[in-house]
Amino acid sequence: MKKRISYLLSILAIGMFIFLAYGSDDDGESSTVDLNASVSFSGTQFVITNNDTFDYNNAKLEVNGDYVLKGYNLKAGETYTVGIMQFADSDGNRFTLMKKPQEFSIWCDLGNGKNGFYYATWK
Amino acid sequence: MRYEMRNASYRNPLQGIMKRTIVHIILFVLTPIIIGGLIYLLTRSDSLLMFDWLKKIGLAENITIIRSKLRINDLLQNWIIYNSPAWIWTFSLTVLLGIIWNYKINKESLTILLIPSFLGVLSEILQQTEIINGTYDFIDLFLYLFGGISGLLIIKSINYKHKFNVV
Repeated sequence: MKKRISYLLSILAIGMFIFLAYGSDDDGESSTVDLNASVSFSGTQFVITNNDTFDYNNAKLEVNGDYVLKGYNLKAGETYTVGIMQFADSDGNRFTLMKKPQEFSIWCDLGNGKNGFYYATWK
Repeated sequence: MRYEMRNASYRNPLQGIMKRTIVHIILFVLTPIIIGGLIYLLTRSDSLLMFDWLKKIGLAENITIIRSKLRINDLLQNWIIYNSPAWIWTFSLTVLLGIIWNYKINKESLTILLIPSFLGVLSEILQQTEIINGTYDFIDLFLYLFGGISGLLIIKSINYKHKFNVV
């Protein structure tokens, strides 16, 4: 009986590791695309340009990792200006002029199940 | 009262063994797996299947941001990123199987304990013959064997201490 349990647990452990190994298999197709965007800060607004030939759908814009603006659609080749007060954290506090933007990220849907990602830092 | 005391004295050695087993699982199985998992998540290409799984559970964005922020690839040497997981997986699975087999190394358990190394070496051979995806690497092949051997050595050393503690 004890041996049977040991065999059963061994099969489970080996199965679990094979599953993990399967997860580390490379299907050759990246699910995230690096976006060719550019972002500059004018002091009160962010100027965001989509330099790609495809749209950034349902984009989530994030400043300093906490302040978020969701649901933006950035069309290919277009430039957008977004006021800093439009960004808010999870508690509803808005990004203010007193804060210094240090990081900016864009996460969006690109269709065909892929996501786009852009990340930049200011010193 | 006396009965309760006797019961308590019986319970303690078992609890001690359980505690030690849990410590061994944390030290030699979970910690290496977590380290190996982090190496994969933070440094390897996001074309790995596990990134599709992360996407399905809504964690892909967070992981992508963390990867961009940390840029661990620039800090780690290539052998840590590409070769060390081979040793980590084999070592932790061999130790886990050793714990399941009560730290005993005999004919029967050895067949089971050699399975991780066998599977690792087999996967490299299948990669070389292009039967499965992946890049054949001689160092990986060596590390699969070394992972198994180091796992067996840990089991043997724990078994030795374990005997002394129980007796």
